[in-house]
Amino acid sequence: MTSITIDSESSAPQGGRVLSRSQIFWSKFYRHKLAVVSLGFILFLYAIVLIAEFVAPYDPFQRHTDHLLAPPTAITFFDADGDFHLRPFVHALKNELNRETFQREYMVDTSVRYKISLFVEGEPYNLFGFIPMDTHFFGVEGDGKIFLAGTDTLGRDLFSRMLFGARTSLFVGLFGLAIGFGLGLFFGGISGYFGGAVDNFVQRLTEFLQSLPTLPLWMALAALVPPHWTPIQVYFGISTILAVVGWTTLARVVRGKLLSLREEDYVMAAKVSGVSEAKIITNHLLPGFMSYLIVHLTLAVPQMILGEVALSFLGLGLRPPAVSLGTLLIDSQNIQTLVFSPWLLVPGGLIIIIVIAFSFLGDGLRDAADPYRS
Amino acid sequence: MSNKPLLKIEGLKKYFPIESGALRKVTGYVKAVDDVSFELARGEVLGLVGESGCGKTTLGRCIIRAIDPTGGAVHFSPLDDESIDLASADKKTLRRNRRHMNMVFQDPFSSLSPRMTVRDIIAEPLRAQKIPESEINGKVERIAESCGLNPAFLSRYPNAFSGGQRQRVCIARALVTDPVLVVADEPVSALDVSVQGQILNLLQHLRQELNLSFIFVAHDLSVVEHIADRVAVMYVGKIIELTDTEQLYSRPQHPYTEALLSAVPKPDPDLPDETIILGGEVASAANPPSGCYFHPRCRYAGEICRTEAPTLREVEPGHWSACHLAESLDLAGVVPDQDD
Amino acid sequence: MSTSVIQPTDSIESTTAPLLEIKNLRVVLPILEGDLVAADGVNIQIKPGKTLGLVGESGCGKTMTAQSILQIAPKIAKTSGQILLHYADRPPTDIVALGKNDPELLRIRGGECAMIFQEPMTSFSPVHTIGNQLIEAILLHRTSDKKEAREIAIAMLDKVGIPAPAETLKKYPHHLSGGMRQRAMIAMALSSRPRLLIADEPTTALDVTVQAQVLRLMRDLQRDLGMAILYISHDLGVIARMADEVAVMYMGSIVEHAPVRELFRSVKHPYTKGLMGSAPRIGKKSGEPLATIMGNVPIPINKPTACGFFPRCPVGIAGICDQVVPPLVEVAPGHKSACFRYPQVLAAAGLESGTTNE
Repeated sequence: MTSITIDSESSAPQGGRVLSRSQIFWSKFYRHKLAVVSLGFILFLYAIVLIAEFVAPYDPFQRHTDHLLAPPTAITFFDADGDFHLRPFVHALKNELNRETFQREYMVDTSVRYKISLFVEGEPYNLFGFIPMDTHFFGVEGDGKIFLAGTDTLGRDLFSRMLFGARTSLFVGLFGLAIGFGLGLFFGGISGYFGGAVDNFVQRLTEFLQSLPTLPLWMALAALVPPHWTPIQVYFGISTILAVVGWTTLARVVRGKLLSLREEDYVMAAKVSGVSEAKIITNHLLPGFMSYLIVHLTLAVPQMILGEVALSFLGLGLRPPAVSLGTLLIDSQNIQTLVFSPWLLVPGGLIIIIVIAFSFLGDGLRDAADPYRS
Repeated sequence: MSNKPLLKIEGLKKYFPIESGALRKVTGYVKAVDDVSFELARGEVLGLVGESGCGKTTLGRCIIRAIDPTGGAVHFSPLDDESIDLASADKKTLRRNRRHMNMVFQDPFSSLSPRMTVRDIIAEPLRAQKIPESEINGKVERIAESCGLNPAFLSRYPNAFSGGQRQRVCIARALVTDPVLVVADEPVSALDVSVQGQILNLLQHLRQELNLSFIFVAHDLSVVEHIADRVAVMYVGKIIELTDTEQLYSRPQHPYTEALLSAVPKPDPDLPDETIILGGEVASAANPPSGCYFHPRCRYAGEICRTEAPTLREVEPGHWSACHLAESLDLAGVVPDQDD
Repeated sequence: MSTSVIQPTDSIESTTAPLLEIKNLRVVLPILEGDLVAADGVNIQIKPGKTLGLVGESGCGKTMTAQSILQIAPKIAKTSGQILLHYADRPPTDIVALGKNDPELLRIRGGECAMIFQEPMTSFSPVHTIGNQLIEAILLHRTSDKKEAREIAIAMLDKVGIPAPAETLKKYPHHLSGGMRQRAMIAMALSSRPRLLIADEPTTALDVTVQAQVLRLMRDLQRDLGMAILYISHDLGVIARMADEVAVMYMGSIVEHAPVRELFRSVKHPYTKGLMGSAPRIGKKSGEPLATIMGNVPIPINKPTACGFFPRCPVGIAGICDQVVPPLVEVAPGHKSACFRYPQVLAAAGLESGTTNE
């Protein structure tokens, strides 16, 4: 069926505005509301995990020994008498051992009110690792405690730990991507550019890697990470493992794009004008599929995050005391604690939201970059 | 100016292997261009016509070495004294000679990189020839103006231009290095009718002003008649007729040319429809019939056509035809209009 | 110019009742850059057994007009006006007013009005055989008996000149060459015995010798089956061969409308004249430059209320053509034009005709 195509004839003087490629890209992207919201969320998330020390009310390793497995703290505006207070506050928590069930039970002591304030002083820390500060974004006055997502078995604030854990997971994703990107670009590039035997070899290699079951491969590679490594070293080790397994799809994309772009008339035009092969690659081929790469990368981030989570959850990736979204979930492996402390699953919820946000963003970018959709 | 032809093409071939099976075994060849020879004089426009799949585009691209031919020679003499064989030239020689020749493509949308400004696109061949940066702007603006482009718009991207203007950009890019040979591959067939005329006029004008030689590949016989001095008709990878334009259109010497000419619809409802309807399908270049490739569809075919492959021979001075029966047939050309 | 002897049958005002009547059709597509007016007050009539040629360049709205007849224009298109399909025995149906899933519309689409497209490959599903698709169409519109449908299918393929029709039924679309595929599509379109065939550039993608075959086939089929054809093309040569009447479209409006002989003998709109001059004519090598139209083909976004052709027109009258939309009126017997160079057009727009004379 012949469908109407709005080609670029609009340079005609009939009042039609000429939109540049990027204008068209962004105006298409803005129409994808979910993608816009996701982009905002992702940028917001990266911003706050970068300054997690400031945003988190407590140090992720600080143990509140009298608040083991405390439920999320309720924030309220109304006191026990039903009177309204303009500033929100929290009540004190008292824990008692239930004599019948021998469970620790938390009782809200409504007689004590702790006001919530912004920019309170707390534990000292170094912002970005070198700016000494002791101001936290929020906290409660006096002896009160605020656990937005409850505490874990050791009494550590889960909300603070989630911020630090998300930092690890989000950046493992990026680092892993950078390695995978390099590998994918290199192998896809030589495969699509040289063709022939090289192409055949790389294609068989990717097929082989893709046919291996991912989980056992991860596990085998993770076993290579020496147990005496520091968390930072493990962190890079895990990223590399994820990248080594994950570059194949990107290589395929790069190869396919390269092969189709080589057939484009403008590439042939450059060739018959005497432009060298290297210049053709850098000036014509690479920019030609950058937008596709960005889309592909966006959609690959959640894969990396999930990979890290899965490995850490299985105890093969980052190990406590390192904090990542995966290690946070280790606590929820125990069904017993889950039943009584369901808030331990909150990091799982965050993972789901992050993955969905990246998927929506990728969808939006892909639709906007696709010249055949209006 | 010497009498040496600008191009002397001898036995040019381009075979594409047919691969099958997982091991990509070569099981045969598509002879897209099969043993083509002709000459192109300086300043001449040669029209290359034929139906889709006849190999005209491949031939154009082989001549200019946009793709590598399988065999044959393309002797190119851009300057009077030297002559190089483009078909076998090494990369270095080829790149040095790129400035003497260039190409205009059919699709003005896919032949311009969407990520470069028009100025950079036109300057690309100059930069490839290492022309000093200081000379580039002047050359680009001069050629852009000759091609009817407003130099003020050169910093825009191609998407701000219409199809016709984009084709002007393509022509400017092809001509910026002062070439002597341009291969134009269907340069107007993707354009609207009202813009086609402008581009044809532009090519005509530039040709005279710059003393260019063209190989003009097209399927539209009226366009070719308008612009070409000589016309070569291709059928299944071979040239089957080659002569002066007027001669070819008025007195064709090959039955396929006759059928082609009769099939062009003329914008005159009063003309009787004298189309020669060809039976069957265009022969496959992978598996051509015996003898003359055209014989299964030819209404004049005799016994010799079925068994013996004809060669392109001079049936009249300057008129080459690959038909066994050329001398004995009285073929009809285009009936001239009578309304003026 | 030669004499303009107009035969009675040439007149577009002839008494035959029309089969399809498009009244004041307006199709607007709201797109990023603004409102694209694809059709702007189009009025045409198609008579039974006749061919109306619709000529124009890319973006002039000819395809959109045709798609509106079957309500297959893009979803975002806003259509107003009337498209009346007439019957001998009952009041006409207004296709514009039908709902998307109206059984009447589904009956008309592919039944009474069939369409063939430029690229036949895309109108066949690649995963079903030609036979399956053809028989399905026949079962939908003509008969419920599968065996009979198969026979009709074979007969149709035979009719469009496909050799070995029974074997072709078993083939997939990619097995056929371009010309054969176009024939198969014509067979499919005609299998429901439509009263109107809409042909949207059906031969543009074909080689000239194959085009000649398909054009002849369509004319023979029209003679045998008596259907009306709306033939859309940018090629005046094809139009001259196929059409009884011609309507020329520019920027969503019909600018000239005349019987085919009259149009080619005595052009009465500068755009049509420019089109004829732009394309070289075979058998007429002159060495002279072509008489072209200056400028580029515009896209009718935020169309001005004036003559759309004025910016490119060699004979435009400043102060009139760039201010008022010229109406399409008869300027010679049976010959309509929308150009202010004709006093009738000025008069119809309520302007003084004394200021400019032809």
